[in-house]
Amino acid sequence: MDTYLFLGIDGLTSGAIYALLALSLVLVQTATRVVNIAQGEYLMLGAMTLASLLDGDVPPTLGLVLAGGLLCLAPDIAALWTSPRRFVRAALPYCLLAALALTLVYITLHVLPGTVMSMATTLVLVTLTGPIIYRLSVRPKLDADAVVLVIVSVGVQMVVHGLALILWGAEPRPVAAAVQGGVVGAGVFVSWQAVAILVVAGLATLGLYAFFELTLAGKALRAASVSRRGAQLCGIAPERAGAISFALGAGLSALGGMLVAPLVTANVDIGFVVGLKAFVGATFGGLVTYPLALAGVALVGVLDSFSAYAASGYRDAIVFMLVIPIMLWRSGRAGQWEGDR
Amino acid sequence: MSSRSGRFLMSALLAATFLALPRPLYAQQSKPELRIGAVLAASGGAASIGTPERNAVALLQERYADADLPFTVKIVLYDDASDPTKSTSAVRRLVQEDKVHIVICCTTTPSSAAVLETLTASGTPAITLAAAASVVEPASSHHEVFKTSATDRLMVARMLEEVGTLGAKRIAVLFADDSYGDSGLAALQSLLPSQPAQLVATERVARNDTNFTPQALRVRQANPDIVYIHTYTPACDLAQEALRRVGYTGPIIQSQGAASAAFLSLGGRGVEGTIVTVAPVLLHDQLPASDPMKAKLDEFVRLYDAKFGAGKADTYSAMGWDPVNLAVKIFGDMVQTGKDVSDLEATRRGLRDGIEATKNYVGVSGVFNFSPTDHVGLLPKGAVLLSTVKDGRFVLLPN
Amino acid sequence: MRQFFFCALAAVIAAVIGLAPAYYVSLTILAGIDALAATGLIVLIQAGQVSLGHAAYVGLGAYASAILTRDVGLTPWLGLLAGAAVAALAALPLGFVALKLRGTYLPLATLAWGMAVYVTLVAATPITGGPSGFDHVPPLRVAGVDLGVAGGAERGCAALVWLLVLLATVSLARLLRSRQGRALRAIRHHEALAVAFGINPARVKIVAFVLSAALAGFAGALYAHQAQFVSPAPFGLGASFTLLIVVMLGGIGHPVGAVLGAITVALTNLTLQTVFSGLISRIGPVEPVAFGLLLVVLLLKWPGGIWSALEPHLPPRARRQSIRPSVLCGRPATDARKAEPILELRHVEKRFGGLQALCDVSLRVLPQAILGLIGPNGAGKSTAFNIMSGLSRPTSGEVLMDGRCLKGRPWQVIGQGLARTFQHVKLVEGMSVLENVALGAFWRGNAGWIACLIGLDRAEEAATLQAAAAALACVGLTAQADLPCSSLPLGRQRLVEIARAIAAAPALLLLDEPAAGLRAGEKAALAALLQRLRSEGMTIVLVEHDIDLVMRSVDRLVVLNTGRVLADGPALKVRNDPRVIDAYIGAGVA
Repeated sequence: MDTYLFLGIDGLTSGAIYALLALSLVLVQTATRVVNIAQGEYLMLGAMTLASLLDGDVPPTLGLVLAGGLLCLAPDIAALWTSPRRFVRAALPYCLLAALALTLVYITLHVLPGTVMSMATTLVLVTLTGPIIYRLSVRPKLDADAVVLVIVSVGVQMVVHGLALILWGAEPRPVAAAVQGGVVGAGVFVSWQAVAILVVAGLATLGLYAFFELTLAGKALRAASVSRRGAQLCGIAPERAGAISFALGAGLSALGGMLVAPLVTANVDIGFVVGLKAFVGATFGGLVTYPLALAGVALVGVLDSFSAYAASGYRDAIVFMLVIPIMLWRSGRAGQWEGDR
Repeated sequence: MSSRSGRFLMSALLAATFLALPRPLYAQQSKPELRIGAVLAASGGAASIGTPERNAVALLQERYADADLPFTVKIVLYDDASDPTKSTSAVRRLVQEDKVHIVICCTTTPSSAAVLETLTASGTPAITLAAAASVVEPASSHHEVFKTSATDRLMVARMLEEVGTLGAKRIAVLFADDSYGDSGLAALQSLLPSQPAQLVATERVARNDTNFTPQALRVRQANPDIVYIHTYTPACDLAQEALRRVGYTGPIIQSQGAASAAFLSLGGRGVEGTIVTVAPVLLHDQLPASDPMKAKLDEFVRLYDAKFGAGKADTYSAMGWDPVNLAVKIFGDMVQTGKDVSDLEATRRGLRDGIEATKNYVGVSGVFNFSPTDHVGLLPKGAVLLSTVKDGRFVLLPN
Repeated sequence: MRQFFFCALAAVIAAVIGLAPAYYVSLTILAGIDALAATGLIVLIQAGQVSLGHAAYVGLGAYASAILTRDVGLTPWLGLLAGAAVAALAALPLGFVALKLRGTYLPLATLAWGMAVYVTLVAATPITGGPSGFDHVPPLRVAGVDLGVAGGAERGCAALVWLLVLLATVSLARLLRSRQGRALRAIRHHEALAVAFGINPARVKIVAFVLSAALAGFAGALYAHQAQFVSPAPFGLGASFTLLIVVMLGGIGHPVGAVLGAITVALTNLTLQTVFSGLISRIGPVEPVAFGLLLVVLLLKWPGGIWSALEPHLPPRARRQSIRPSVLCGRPATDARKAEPILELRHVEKRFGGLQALCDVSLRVLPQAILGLIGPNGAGKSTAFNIMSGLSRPTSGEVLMDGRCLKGRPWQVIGQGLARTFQHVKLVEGMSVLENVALGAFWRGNAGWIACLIGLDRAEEAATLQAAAAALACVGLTAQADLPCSSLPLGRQRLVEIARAIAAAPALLLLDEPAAGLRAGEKAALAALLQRLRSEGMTIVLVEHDIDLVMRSVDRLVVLNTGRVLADGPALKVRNDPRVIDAYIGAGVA
């Protein structure tokens, strides 16, 4: 019995690793109807950027953000000759954001090094990559079929992961925990880091709920994903809504990456591994509700723990096979097939 | 994009492609040319192992480009992304299109096994970097394949020796669930019957797992005297951490996968006192001056660290160093003895025979003595050393 | 002619196989195997399903065939079939599961299943050799020549593989154009439509899953015997996504998209390897980045794939036979049964939870007459319509068709003589007008999957197209037969829907607000059509809001209000009934 309790608690805390990424998956799906296969890469970028900053190096993410911003600005460069004022107006936000990014990195490396500053800078840098990727990969063909957008996100994943491999290399890096140590309950060691993740995830859920249900901006984002034309008629720019959604999703994932890195080390492959299990957990809520996404990752963590104990060679197979009956159960509640109207 | 600029882009792309295609390699050379092909994993699951191997080969490519030799050395590198299908394709390309004399392939065991038929059919010699003994033994069915580093069987044998020395009777193991772990487990299971120690728990872990606690718990509950972990970073660190957290206090042995600077930096204080099976390169500054490999090791570390950073020379970069040098040496011998090296098939055969006849070749992964029945050519004692982690460094354990 | 394009493609491939250096021929073998697995995936996507874990079936086929031929001694040719069978069996549970899953659940279920299979292949070392795989897989032998990687007979192997690809592409293209193919494509866009015309969606989906898995398993077995080595690495998630990339790049509109996609991916990889092999040491592994970039750029430029960019430039498919329609549009009832109602509702009640939608509704539809069903919104017209068309069951009461109780599953209703149209036009994109109408005649045929694949359905197909042409002639759209249905204005699309219902040779035609969104001229044409159909013996039930059109067309009128029948009788009498005017029509309308 002891062992079961142990495994249960262990499963819950290890499920926490997927929590923030699962939330961001739900966010991006509800706000843009895109099932984003590349979402895990923002988590990886968060972890790797933090590792670089804590090591005292200029994070390659800065280069990605600057280059990406330049690419986004590219269509407007032609305006430099024809209408300089238009170019300046278009370029101004990019320049401001670039200046912000450069300033933050400088401050973190030379003026105020430390965990807090590094985490803040990482958050800003990776959040900026969200709208950049949105601008380059989703906005050009907003009305494309869902399957096409999924495959485009696969391409994005290849690019981001490949670039990370080139820029950071394949070696894992240690990241010091913001809060060291932990508490022992029922014989199980629960690190404060894991507790911190759960607290942040809970707060994030509340915040997301408040944002999407209670604020006008949040409702506008939801509206834009349900009916683009309708939202346009109400004065909501779908492109801006999409960019904001991607930014929020990237930021949330990056936060997840920063908190998770001390537990599993920062390496360029964690995006895929964490992403897959987070996907499975988020599906528990049909990719539409936050609390159920959290419940889902807890379930995945517990399943993982138990099957790793029982038959460690087959643990992944067991978890993935159990996903299907769970999905059947969840989908069944979503209503039977109905006739016309 | 307008269709006119689209067409321009397409034609530019096509032009670039045609210009980039390799030219036939039969251009008149004043000197004979040794062509070495290398298929190593620069991306995919084995990237952390394949990259240092590639780096070593690339460094040699640079050095041989302006070396003063009676022949030129051309090295062609392909990335197989840790996929056996791509490995086979790449080796085919090297053998049929690039017409190389010798192939260095591959990083992983399944890739090395997949390319065997292609190599045998064309008679091209190959030096493999994969860990499993099965890719190079028995020599009768692996006529063309050699290995210039320790196999997993040698490493596990050395580890079991130490287990015996420590007097441990109950051993629990954690093996990776990829080909590295699988072939290591197979080696362990074949060697174990002749040992006094008894296997009390076998658990599988994945290199990129996020939670090692359940397996660690199972191991601890089996009450072992000693635990052996056989996987790469970061799993080897996280597994060790998990073992300590569930209350296991006994000794831990790590495999060659942990023989790297990353293991030390990730593990910190937690890995002090761990026994690690290492290749000689990590302990090069602790070897006595009388050791035949010392001079070569020091030179390798100096050159490698100069280009890639201090402390970067490790087991895998050393594994990439020897194959090229060995090939160059044999080819040089052939040229010096006046053999005609213009016929591709004859040269391949000559290289193969030359490697097989090599005795006492001092490399950076060991001293090699090949024979028709032994394509690994290593004695266990020399190639696999044991070390312990002390003050954040690997310290040689005397025999 | 369109055939020229396909012949040219085949000729180019044959030329490469025959003339190119051996290494490039070996690349075509791998491309061909990818194409074979991808054609099955295209069929699955055409059925509206998606499989994010398809490489698992390729792997199952490879391992099954390898194990059976190496350890059990089966001949490799049977091994190919065994591989296909094992993969098909493994897809069966997922096919059943797919019936119950909606929305994002289905792709994720296929992903989970694919991962589970992959991990099992890795973990079951005693059977599968584990992550290191196993070798010495026997090759295929043709005329005494080994077609494996050791045999050196790359050209023979490539010829075999591409012959199989040709066979698969041609058969599947045939299938998609045939009776079962129309059913398949209907399921993708409008499942309700498919059911209304006699198609059992469950059966179609399962067959689609099994067929695509069988093709993937066959391709996997081919791979195993060609490489003479299997390991799990080529069958993981990355490989599943590569298959999807092949399919999306090539285009899902036609099975040849798999060929186009596989060739494109192979060429891209070859080019990237050539261009970047020297640079890797200096920069790093650039190939995956370049591939991803290319993928994003190409897909954004041509979301429908290469086929969608090529197809508009190809001449349209020539229709093989000329249509000679006969012009009987209705099904006149015999004199003896002129007085018996064709459709009757007796005391029908329908409750949705606490809401009483219909209460004691009884009505009769007499043959060769038009019955109008009107009423305010929320009166229960749609509910009554769905019950009449067999789509939903009444909570109590009876629905009688030709005196017999309407029974069976929703897709068996059309066989009992009821055909309907839809309020929101449901025409299948990608099919021509004639093909859409031919969908109506689905239930009258019986060509099965095998027959459609290998071409045994020629006679039945000709008869079906004749029936469809006749139905089109009834509504006067013969000239538009070969146009894509999406190119027609709404009024004509509604006429196509009616033609489709006529093609089912029903005893009763149920029209659901056919005039919604039509212009005045189109409404007049519709009214004229209804009159003509009635005069030729068709019985029609018309649910409408346009009182003008209703009064011009119907003989009898039933008015529903808050779930009850308010009035039922000859049109003019009901029209002037004060209760009806009160509840619905309002005074002041002429």
